[in-house]
Amino acid sequence: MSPYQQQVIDVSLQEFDRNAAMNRQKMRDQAVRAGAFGGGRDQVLQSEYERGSDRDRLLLQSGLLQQGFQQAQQARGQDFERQRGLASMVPGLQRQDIQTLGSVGAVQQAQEQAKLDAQREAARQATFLPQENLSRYAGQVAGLMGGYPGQTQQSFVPNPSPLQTALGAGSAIAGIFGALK
Amino acid sequence: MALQETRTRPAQFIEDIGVDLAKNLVASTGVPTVSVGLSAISQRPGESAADFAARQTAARAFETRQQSLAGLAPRVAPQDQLQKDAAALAASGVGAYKPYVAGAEQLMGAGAGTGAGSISE
Repeated sequence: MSPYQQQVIDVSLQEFDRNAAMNRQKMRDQAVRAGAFGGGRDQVLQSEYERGSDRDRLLLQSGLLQQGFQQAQQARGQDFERQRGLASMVPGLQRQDIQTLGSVGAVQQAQEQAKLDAQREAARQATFLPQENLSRYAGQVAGLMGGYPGQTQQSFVPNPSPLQTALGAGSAIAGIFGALK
Repeated sequence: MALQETRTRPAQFIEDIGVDLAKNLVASTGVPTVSVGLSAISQRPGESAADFAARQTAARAFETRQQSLAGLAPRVAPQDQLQKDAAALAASGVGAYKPYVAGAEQLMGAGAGTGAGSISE
């Protein structure tokens, strides 16, 4: 039970008891004035009063307790609803965290990927430099050769006749003899 | 009829260049492709000593070329301090709601004094 509720009940009962005590005193005073104090009639009156007072006190106490119980029940229900609200809010908050971490991670991953790409490109440059140089060289050579083209010509020449052969041989022999003279 | 073929050759220096190019092309086909430094390669099972030596030579040449080309190597700018700070802040905020949720739970439960035990008292 809430201490505040207990205090309310205590104060209410104290006030009730104070009023009851005052009423008792009034009854005694009246009995004294009537000369009936301590008599049978007075005792019956006091007894009736006490019974009624006890009943009223119990009714007051139970009413206050009932009120407290209902308030507590209501507050508990509100607690339950609020807790349910909190519980339904938590997944959304967690999702936001996940998205935040995912975004930060994506940025960092992209940064690392960019570094790796740069390293790979540097390695590619160093690996294929000879081939690229050769390719460039070949292109220049091809250009040069285009400016100085070689040629191949083919033609069919008729075979010499026997007379041409004989004349050719004769002139060659004559030339040799001429030279020997 | 006889076939007569006449070839007109290009200038000697052009021929020399062509021969040199051809030799280089043929030689290049025999060089293994290695894209890592010397420390990153090791002799593979079944690899002959000659083949491994050729790869080692290629790796050395790779290192030399990489060193020579360092000025041309692509680079990536690092994250600046603002970006780092932003990432750190974002990460530090993760789960920041937990204490508040726990606090709210406490306030709703024991704070109100309306737990199940309290009602039965």
